[in-house]
Amino acid sequence: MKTYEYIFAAIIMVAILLAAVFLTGISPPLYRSTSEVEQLKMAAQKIMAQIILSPGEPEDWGENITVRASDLSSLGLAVSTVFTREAFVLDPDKVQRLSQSLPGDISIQPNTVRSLLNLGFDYDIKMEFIPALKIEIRQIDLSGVEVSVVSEQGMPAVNANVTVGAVFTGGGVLLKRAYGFTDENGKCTLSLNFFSPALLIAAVDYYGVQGVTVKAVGTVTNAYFIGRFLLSSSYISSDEAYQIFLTKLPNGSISIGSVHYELTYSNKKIDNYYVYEMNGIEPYTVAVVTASDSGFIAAWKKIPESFGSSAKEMPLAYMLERSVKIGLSSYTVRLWVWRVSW
Amino acid sequence: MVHVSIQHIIGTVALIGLAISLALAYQIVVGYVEENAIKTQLNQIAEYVSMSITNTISLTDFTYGVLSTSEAVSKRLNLPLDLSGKPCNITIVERGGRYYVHVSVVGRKDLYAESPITASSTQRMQMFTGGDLPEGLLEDSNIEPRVWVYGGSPNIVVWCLKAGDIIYVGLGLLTGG
Repeated sequence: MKTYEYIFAAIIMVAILLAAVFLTGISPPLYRSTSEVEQLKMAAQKIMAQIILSPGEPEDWGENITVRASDLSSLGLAVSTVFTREAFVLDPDKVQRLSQSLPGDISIQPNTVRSLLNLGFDYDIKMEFIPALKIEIRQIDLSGVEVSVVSEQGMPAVNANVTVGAVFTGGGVLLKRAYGFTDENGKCTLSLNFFSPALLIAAVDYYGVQGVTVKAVGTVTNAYFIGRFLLSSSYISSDEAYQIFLTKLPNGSISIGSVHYELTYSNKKIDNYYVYEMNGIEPYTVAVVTASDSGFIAAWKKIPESFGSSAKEMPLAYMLERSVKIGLSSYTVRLWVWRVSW
Repeated sequence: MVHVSIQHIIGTVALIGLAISLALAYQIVVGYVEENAIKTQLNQIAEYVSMSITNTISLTDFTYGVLSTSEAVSKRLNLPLDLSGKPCNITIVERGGRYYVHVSVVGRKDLYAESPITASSTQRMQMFTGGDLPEGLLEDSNIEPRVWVYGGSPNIVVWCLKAGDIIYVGLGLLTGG
């Protein structure tokens, strides 16, 4: 055997090794990417189960504004009840406290949620609260409003049962109501006399799927309504507040009612907002209104459109959806989960 | 002639040496790839167990949350007998007040995966990571609570039970079935 033949044999051996290494390295990445999707799916399911089925601890953390983010030991958005449990029913106050428009002290930050869910630096999440019915309410003139109802998929909701309430001041706080059904374009025009400033509430029942929207007309003082508390940017001289609540009637329609409660100043301020407490709360209260020297003050539950990471690109994110009820309204909760580090 | 034989011997020995080192190099590469594959499987097992724990807690809280005591709720885990011929252990570990499912290959402390448990141990919930459980807990059930379980066992369960307003959660083995 000549020297070059030995060298040739050596080159062939090295080539065989390189080919073997190459072939060995082909299949694991394929398996890994499939497994990574599977892991994200399981992570998304456990996070979703925790968020929408657990009330968190303390259980009343949504309505109790004295409970701050640092006081939470467990996070969950499910409604907290004493005698019964309802699946996929979220507490409007807990969801509202995820809103970043709330005063900073009572708003829950995405980092806190990640930490409470024990996600550390491994995962990141983003949540979206998508109403099952997109309801728009528009004042067409001094004596009428138009309500437009579109399904989540963008189709007009035909023959939906619409109830509109207008709350305004006129020798006290007044509530006027109007009822109707949407036409083939998902629109409903109703005759309703009210004075500005006012708060318009539209409640819609579309074959069992309900939705509520609230809109302020005219100059309304900025305020927030959480549990039994009213947080107002201006001082309220009145000692009573009107709660606007919803009741579902046997025929499927939704009735809008109002009841007044005592309002007391708690001598506390949160981020420059005066904190007032009411001596009771009606079930399914959507808004609180009061007339004060400083003007018409209205507050309603604000459900954030999205919550979590502001990242626009989510590489290899897993998305999971669940239908839930927040108050009387139906929503789809969409959860995105992705890994930050592997 | 002698000169040619020595040249052949050197060449042949060099080739044999090269073949052996290439085989070893290939073995190292295969070992690395296999470890990665096992790590991926460990991650998947950890995620599965942690998801099962969260689901079992949710189910127990949802079903028995308003009562002061409950029946034991359990979920049998469907796990592979081994990972490329290597057995694994599963346990719940506590770190800084948070809980993780820890899955490791037996005899290889460096080869492990962890998955966070979203529910944290609170006044209402206690995760079983060792120590004593209240007397009589799980007495009427066919579940034997375990700090760690061997992945190859077909009877691994995640159990959950409410007693005295506290929900106890842990790993265990189904006995007698």
